[in-house]
Amino acid sequence: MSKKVVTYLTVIFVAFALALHYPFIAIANKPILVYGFPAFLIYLTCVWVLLIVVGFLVVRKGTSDDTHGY
Amino acid sequence: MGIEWVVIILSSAYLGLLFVIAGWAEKNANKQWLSNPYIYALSLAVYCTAWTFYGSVGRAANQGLDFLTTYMGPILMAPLFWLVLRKIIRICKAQRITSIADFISARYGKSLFLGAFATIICILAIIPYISIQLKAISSSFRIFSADVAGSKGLFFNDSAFYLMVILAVFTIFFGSRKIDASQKNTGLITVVAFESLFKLFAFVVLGFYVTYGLFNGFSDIFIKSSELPYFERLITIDPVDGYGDWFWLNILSFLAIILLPRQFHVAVKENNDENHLKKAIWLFPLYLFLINVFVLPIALGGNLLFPGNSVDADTYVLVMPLAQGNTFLALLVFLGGFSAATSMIIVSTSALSIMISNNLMIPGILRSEFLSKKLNPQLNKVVLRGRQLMIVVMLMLAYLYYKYIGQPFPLVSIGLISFVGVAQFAPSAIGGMFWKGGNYKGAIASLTVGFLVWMFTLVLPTIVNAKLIDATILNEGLLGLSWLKPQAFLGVDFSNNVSQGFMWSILCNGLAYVGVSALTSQSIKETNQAEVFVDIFKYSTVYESAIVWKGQAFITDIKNLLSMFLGKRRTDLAFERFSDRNAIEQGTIEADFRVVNFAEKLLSGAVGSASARVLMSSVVKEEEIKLEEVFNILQETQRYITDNKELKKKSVELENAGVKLRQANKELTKLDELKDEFISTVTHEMRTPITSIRALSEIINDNEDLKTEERAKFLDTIVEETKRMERLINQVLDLEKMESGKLEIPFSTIHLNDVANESVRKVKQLISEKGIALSTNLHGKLPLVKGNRDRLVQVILNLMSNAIKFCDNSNGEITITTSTRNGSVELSVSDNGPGVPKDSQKLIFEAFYQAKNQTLKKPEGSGLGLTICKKIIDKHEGSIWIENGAESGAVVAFSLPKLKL
Repeated sequence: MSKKVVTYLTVIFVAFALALHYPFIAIANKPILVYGFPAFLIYLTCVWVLLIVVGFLVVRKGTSDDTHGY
Repeated sequence: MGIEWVVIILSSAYLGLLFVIAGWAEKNANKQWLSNPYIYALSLAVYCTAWTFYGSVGRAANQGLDFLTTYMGPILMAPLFWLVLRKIIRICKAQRITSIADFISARYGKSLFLGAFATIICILAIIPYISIQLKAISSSFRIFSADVAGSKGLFFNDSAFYLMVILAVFTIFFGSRKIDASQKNTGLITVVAFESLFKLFAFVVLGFYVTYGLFNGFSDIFIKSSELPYFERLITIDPVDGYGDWFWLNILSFLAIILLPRQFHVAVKENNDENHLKKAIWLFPLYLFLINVFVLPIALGGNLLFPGNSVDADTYVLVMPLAQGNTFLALLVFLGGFSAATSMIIVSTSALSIMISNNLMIPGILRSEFLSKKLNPQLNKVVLRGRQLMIVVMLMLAYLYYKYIGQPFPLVSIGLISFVGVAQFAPSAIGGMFWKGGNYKGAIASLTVGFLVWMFTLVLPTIVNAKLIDATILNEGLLGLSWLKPQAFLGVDFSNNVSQGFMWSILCNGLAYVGVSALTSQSIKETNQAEVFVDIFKYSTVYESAIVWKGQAFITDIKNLLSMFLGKRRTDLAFERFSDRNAIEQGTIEADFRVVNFAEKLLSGAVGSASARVLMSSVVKEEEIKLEEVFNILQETQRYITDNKELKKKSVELENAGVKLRQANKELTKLDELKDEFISTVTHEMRTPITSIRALSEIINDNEDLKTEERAKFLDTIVEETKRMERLINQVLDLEKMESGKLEIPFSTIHLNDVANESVRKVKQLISEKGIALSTNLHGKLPLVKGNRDRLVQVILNLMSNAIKFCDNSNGEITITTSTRNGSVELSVSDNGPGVPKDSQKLIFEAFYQAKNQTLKKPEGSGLGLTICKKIIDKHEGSIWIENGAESGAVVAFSLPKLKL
């Protein structure tokens, strides 16, 4: 994978590390149910799923770059 | 037959299945599809142990979302796999490192002491961790058997004992098959991957059952449990202490996913291909997501079904289906937890056994003169048997710990304390990988401080809780000093013991590492290793020349040493290949530094890097090296690498240039041929009119009595033929000008419809004379184009005259159409003639194509018309082509780029 893709992955790490810690988690850390789901759980689920999807897309880009010989 | 027998038979059958899978995978070990990224990613899920399976639900039921901290760290590490894990894998491949203790020892100059120290920390941290797996299995078993006495009986009444025996056999069979520990154990990894799938399946099935069978979906559980008194605490983090705990516990699991011996074993030692990491980057977080989705619903569901702590929350996953009479599901869940525990035990014990044999056992044998003399002849057997013995010893210790010490603790606390223990490797292992300045003394300080703080803040309270020592130290502090209370270290009181213990240990540890490294200096051997570790991507291809070594050694001695461990056949084979690769002549007596480094690397795979160092120094005579020499040689190696790269680049460039030259030459030859052909065709075309002109002139000259009418007719023909020649010569000149680029065509903004209309006006007379029907179909809002009006009229006229030539004789039809497509403007001229054969459609634009094609009836015209049209359109940066009409006839069309505003 190219240097660029590795940079993307590092940026993803930093972004998600921030998203999963104070003060960002404090936004959703409230004892309320939204549509029957705890607000904090919804927040964590979204961040987690996003991490998987973004990881998948970046790796796919890195892999397709590789096969095209960059 | 009681249910407990069903459980025993099922678990035995399950273990039997593991043997079958492992045996089958070993047989097919060389097949490509068994080393795939999915198996690799699944094997990483050995991270999820019985602790995940039972303990997560228990922790969620009592403490809420806190259980997620075990998984937040790993999913954050996943994007860094390519950056961090790949580097570790590369280093370990180059140096044949097989465990985390070896890794640390190798980085700091292959120190025996550091390796042994790290191994001891691992043993202390991991044995209790293995024991809680045994505990999880036996307590889940007790739920079925209702045998409360359980582990209090003698060992032969205890299911955990038999389980331990079977697992020992399995691990010996599939985890320590080869003397060279750096070789892959396909059977073991396939089994771990299978178990990961199985435990996920069991847990998800249970999750569905609880969420949709016992309740009406997720929101039903949440809404119902919102009436529980402590509900708010379970779905949020405590805003006072919670964020700090959350932060430190996330960092803890972030480090554990790399440093735990079993994770190192599956992720690094058993890695076949660095590229497998790519899939793991997203697949591993996905796995963790799936196995955690149902934890909170199950925990809350359990709290609702068994109010008032009537049931231990650690056992909810089994008790819930059992209480509903769903024995089948309970058995499935039991097997899921069983698989989570067994995979952890198998991998951990085989990792520990290699670590112990490399860092404690072999150095011990080598040190003791008596032992090394006695065991010398069959050292390879000693290594292998020793490892297998260690597997049994580890399991025995875990069993004893479970039986006599570990009973009072919940699953989670022991697991987390183990995590903190191995996290102490982080500064020396991960720091040493990115910072060349980290040195041996710094690493010793780091491990010592980290180990002591860990023991004091976390292990000591456990021992006190087990009532092995008096509780005064907890309440009054060490030596009565209140700031030395283990659970309020330095007077700071955290709500969570584990996070405070981790925080203090890792901070003191890191500080010691950085501080001591900065204040002291490195040995030469260390500098070399630091260089290779930190810049591994520069050296991994020329590893053998990157390790600096000076001295005298004989190949025979080295070979003899190696064959003691690897056997004669393998040693000879390895040497043969190495000599071939490095162009070392056969029959060389003295070994150079490359051979020494290669042999040491081979040996490291079998006995670990520190022991390999000791063994090698016993057969070679080493000389002191100066630091400058190390740097000089390293610089040389680097220069060699860059030179090599440059050279490769140059030779590729050269090759490319050669290819281009050859191509140019080919084109030139072709052009030359074309020129010859062109000249011969032109002269041929000119000969015809000249012949007729000459013949007619001669007739007129010789026959003075020719009739006036006849004379006029001949003269007419002569004039016609002269015109034809003139036309031909003009066209040849035109073409020549265009080809040489001498012809300047001035461009202006024009409307193609106007050009079409003008062309139509010019030929209207001729067309109506021939009785051909001409129609135009011009686009109403045609965009403007840049072009040369006169030249475009020339093109259209040429196309029309071709159409007239080939039109149906009796009722010819010609249509001129303008249109736009994809940002360009098109004009086409279609007729209803015979059309153009498909294979000629491209060739028709070549000079004199019609002349060459003898099967066509030769019409009038020079044969250069279309060629000139193509040249003109090319000058306009457009394209021209020919195709056959929908029904009949040919359509010649050209397109020009739309004027950009």
